[in-house]
Amino acid sequence: MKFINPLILAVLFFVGHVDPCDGATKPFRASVGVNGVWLDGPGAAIPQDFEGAGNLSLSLSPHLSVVGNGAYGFSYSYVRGDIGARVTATDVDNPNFNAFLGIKYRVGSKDEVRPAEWAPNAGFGWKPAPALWPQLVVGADAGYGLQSQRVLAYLAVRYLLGGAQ
Amino acid sequence: MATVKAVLERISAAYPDTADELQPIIDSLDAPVSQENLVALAEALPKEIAAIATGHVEPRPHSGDAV
Repeated sequence: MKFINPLILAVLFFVGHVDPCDGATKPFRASVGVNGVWLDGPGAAIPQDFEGAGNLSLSLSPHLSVVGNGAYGFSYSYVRGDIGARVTATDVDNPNFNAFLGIKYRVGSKDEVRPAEWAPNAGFGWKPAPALWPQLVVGADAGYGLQSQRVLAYLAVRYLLGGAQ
Repeated sequence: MATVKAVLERISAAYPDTADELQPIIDSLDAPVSQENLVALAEALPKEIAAIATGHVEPRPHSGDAV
């Protein structure tokens, strides 16, 4: 946990120093949704589950974002979360699809979703029908725990709160 | 990215009706690790980090940030 505090402090620092050059685009976004999650690797006692999930993100530049996630596993009654930075590696001006590479620090409430560790991750987000359902995002993320050597991957369906950006 | 691709390919195989929708996404997931994209990222990130350090942000509404 000693590594997560600087990340939180960095986010709070920028909350007070944000100067968006484009007033039409909000740097902060929130979403809620569900995940189908798979855990694979040494000692992975929870092979798969469905989760309720929430997400907060702060877009700092065309490529760089800070993203935090929280999730509750319905079948195994665990809570897990993560916070990390990610870079968009596709067209930064396409609001309907992007793929990203990043690194996050993940924590969990039960041994099966521990240890607390850093995990490089990759994934994508996609709006399947931006005209019809502009607040609907589907996507996926997979992270490799550097300590546990476990891959935690999930498919996500999200509803963007507070507008369709 | 390989894991994400594998998951999508399994879904596409299990539900053939989704194949037309999923295949372009599966194909596009090769792009992020292309040499061209990594070079572009390496060029852009130092400038963006310098701008962020001075408190100037330029947000984008990335779909992936919700995931």
